[in-house]
Amino acid sequence: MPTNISDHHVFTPRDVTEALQFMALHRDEGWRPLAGGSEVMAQIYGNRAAATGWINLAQLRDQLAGIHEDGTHEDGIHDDGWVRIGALTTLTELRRSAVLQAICPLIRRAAAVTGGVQRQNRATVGGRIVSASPAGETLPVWLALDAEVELSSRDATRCVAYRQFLQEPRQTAIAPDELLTAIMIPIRDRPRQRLLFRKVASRAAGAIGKMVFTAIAGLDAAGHYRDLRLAFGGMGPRPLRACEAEQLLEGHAPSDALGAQAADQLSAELTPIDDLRSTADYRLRTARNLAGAFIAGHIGEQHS
Amino acid sequence: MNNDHVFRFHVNGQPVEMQAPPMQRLLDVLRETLRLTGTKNGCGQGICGACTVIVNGQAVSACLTPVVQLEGADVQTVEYLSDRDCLSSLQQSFLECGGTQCGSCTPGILMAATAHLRRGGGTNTEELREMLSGNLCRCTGYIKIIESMQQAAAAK
Amino acid sequence: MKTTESALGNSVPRREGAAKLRGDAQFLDDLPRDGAWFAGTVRANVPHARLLGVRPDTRFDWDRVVLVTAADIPGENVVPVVLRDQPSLAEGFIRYHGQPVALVAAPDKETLALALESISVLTSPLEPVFDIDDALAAKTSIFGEDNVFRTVEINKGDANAALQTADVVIEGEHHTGAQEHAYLEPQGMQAEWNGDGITIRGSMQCPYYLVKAVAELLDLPQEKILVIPNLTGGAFGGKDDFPTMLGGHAALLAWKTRKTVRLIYERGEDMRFTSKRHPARIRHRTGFTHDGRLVGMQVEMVLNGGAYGTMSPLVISRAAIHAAGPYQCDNIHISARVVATNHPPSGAFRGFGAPQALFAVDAHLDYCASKLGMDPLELRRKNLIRRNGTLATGQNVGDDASAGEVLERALRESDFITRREAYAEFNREADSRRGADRFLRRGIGLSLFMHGTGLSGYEEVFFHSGVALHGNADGSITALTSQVEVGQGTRTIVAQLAAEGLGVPVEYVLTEQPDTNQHPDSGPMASRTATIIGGLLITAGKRFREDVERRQGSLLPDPLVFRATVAKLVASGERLEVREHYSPPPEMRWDEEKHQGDAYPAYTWSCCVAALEVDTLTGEAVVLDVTAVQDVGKVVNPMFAAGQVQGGVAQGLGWALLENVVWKNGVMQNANLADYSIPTAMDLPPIHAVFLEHPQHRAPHGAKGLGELPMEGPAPAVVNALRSALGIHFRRVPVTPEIILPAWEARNLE
Repeated sequence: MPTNISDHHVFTPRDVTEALQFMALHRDEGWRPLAGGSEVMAQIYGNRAAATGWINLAQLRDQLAGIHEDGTHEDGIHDDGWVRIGALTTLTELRRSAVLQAICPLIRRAAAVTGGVQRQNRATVGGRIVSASPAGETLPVWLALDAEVELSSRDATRCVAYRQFLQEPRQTAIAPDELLTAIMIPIRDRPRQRLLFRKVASRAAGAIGKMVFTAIAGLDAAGHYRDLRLAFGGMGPRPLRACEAEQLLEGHAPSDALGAQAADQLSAELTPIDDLRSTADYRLRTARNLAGAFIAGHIGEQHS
Repeated sequence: MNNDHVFRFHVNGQPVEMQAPPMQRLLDVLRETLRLTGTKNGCGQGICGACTVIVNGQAVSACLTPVVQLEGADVQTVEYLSDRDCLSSLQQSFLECGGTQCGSCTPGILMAATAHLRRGGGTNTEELREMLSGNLCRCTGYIKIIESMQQAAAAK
Repeated sequence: MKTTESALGNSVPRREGAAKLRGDAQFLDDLPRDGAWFAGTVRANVPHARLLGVRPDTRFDWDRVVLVTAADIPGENVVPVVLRDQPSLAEGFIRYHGQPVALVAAPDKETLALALESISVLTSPLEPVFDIDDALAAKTSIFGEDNVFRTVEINKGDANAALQTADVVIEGEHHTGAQEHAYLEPQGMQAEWNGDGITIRGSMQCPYYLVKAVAELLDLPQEKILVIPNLTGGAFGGKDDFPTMLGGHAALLAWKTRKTVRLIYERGEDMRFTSKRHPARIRHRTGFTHDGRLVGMQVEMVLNGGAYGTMSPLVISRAAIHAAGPYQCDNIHISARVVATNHPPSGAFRGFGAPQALFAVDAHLDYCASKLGMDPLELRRKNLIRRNGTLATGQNVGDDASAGEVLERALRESDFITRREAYAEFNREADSRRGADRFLRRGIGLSLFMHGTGLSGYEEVFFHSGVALHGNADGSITALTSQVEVGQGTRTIVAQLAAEGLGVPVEYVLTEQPDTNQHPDSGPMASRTATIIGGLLITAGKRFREDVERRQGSLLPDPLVFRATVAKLVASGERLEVREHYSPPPEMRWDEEKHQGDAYPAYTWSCCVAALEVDTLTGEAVVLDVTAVQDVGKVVNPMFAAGQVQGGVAQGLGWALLENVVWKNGVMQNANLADYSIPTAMDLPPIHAVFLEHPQHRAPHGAKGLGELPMEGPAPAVVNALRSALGIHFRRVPVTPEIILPAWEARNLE
């Protein structure tokens, strides 16, 4: 129970411009955005809130929720080759998006295993990205997709590769006067792909994952891996890509031997920890096994 | 300092205007201010689903919903489902199929189920298990809850 | 003329069901507050220490709140459950992290939160002990000289000699973990000072425990204490003994403030600091002939009781009595101890020690079958208790012997033999399959077990449970028991049972919220409502009818006429009331000291089959389906009975696979409903409940106990199914993927 809920202040901007003005003026006062509230409310009522000033984004949904296939920004500028997902898009909206399902079914999978229906109806894409939970289900998918995040401030808008955006545990590259306004997914020509998303948790729903693994494998005409992405959650202080393994395996054809090689490389590359949800040993075994089986070609679904 | 704001929204079809701290959770507004105690406080962390209510057509956890985000919203609670003593067909199915035991999870499950059925969600067992995965029940093993929902859906 | 059809065997809808579904059924925290103060608990933050005192921060204005410490207690500072070792508020020593040291009541939540933050507990640490071996070695002293709350020994024949001459002796050690009740309504109590006494309302199973406890604590006569159990949102044993402490706390605050005080735990507090199922270590040494006949069993069982005795002395008794399972063996030695550690006190939990004992014996039996090269079904068929067989206590079960029948029925219902073969084939061909299926292994396993009906041994005599029926002016009849509606359907089945005895439609019988003024003490829950209380209600009902017919001077088979007669008699000023008290059947013999004789009037026999699939990439086991067959004597309400089985199996599957209490320095680390994983709808399979009805002869309607039993089958069935899937014998529940995966990988390296 919070000692005093009345200590918490809220500013509710009418649009993005007003929000960014406010953030610029009060950049050093510790105000934080309030999106769907799932994280923030649990923190406040668990007496571990990071702030007492909140910028309520509820009225910005018109501008910041939605999935735009042609990458159109709110200012009307087109960005071909990208899908733009507004930061206030809810997980339910991700799940139901035919556009995203066509581009990458992994997004729906990840959204579908993030909490129950109630959470999915409130939690937002942007909120999940900014809270940067090490085992956040959608985060490895954004990593695997080479997504970029769009950060807006009163004076500028910048796009940052999501990989660079993630910093220390639960910390990101966002500045105090910046608002995460969208995540941008590049659409590339990948004729043949094999995909996998697995969340390993203490039960089938409603638990934070022990580990999350997602993989996207392009295959060239000869059946060799091209543009392989292996991303993990819960295997380190933040979601991560197994870059060395990706490089090692690139250009090779799937086989049991290659799967074993992938597993061994991951043992060297990943350093998970023991915590109340699982053990380092178990996390590494599942990472090795799932990635090994994927690289060997046994698991994953075809997508084109 | 008093940081309360005035909020206006609808609860069970009735307009509500109230003064409250903006980060007050909907759960406390319903239970303490409006004395609608059908909505239960099971965990306060959005995990058990006992406080599920419908906001603008969607099932949400009242314990994670701040009143500041309810401006203009349409909130429905378990008290809205029945007309005085006459149970809705969903409630009647729960009574006939044994879908409620201790009853703590029941209001939340009814609201999650109502939102699902209203939007035409699927009613095979698999779909209902997934739909129920945000509501914990310790008494039933969920089987009679699913049967109750299927009976109600079939009666439509 | 119309006569009444039996009220038993019908799925009568839940009496308070509509109120629960409308949302107007009121649990404790739903009651109007009417100025009740908010209350909270000041707790120790070390697991073992000398308590030096509490230090209120002088910057807080303590006149705004009321603070209670042990020094304020007017009566005896004790939570009287069995041993009287537990103080209501810590005095002298801290025995577990989170132990209540002081209580605070405040007019509002914010003031309460500030007050709780403004007080510190001063301690001087002592070495804590968490492990049962360390406790037995008396590395640190918690209880008595040896840290043993109670030892129970059961001897039948000469197990030692039998094991020396057995053809084969097989040993096995099994472990079970703590389990959190996770009722959806957290613990809560409200106490009100009414001038010269206390009224307590709350979430509880056993109102009479509280009357005695609060009277002692406040040094008041028992008649000054009125306890009104509120509608209770799930209990599972967690609201059996624990509310005795919590109700005492609320009463102390009400007494000191002279106000109404409501004390409700938040979820995390409830999970961290209330009781859990006793963790157990159970060792078996089992002797067989070459062809698999049981000739000797030695069972050594140790339960971790935590810091105080609570229900442990009774839990260990039931655990010991069930430790040899439903098997015939002439030479048995059971040694069962429950030890003190610096964990929060373990307490009552559905099954009451029997699940731990039954898990070990039935998992061990499958292991023995593999060592003997026998089919585990054959090993069970050869050794299960039959007609006139004798259990470990020497009790002759007479005709109450359905172990064989539930086994065969479960095999048929689950298509066990065919599926076992199909799964073996599936597993043999795994490597040749393509895709994700190549990593899957399937298995099917079963458990055979029994649960003693009613309380163990003398306990039923001790409680001397009573029920009453009285006639009302409108001709209805009110059934009075102290059985509390916690979700199991008590209000409805009490009416059904009384109606059966009365020979009237169930609608004629009223059941109400009990209170300790009006309602006789009918004892605790313990799967007793349908059988023990039911028997009393049926007998009382018959006597009530005889009384009415005698006064009227004629038989009254027509229920409408009977009702009109009751109304007429009551209107004419006659008092129609019948009371009935339990006394054990005269032929039952029990020696508590030696734990010999007729431990229970009857046994519910059951067989549970679980089929599962393991993903060998992750070690995750998914249960495909469960079949639970039980001989319950008589089904009172089929819908409720199936609900009890399905819910019990769900809780048993949680204990078997998911529910892992993570301890660190005696504190539960995963004390929230996300990280402590009770099953969601997506974790549970179809659960098929099958009932056999062979009436027991010691109850007028033949019913036996049901509530606890269904949770006992899944854990051994799951471990046996894992053996069938993976060829590995697991010795621990919960058997999590963290255990399964390394074991599978180690086996494949061999």
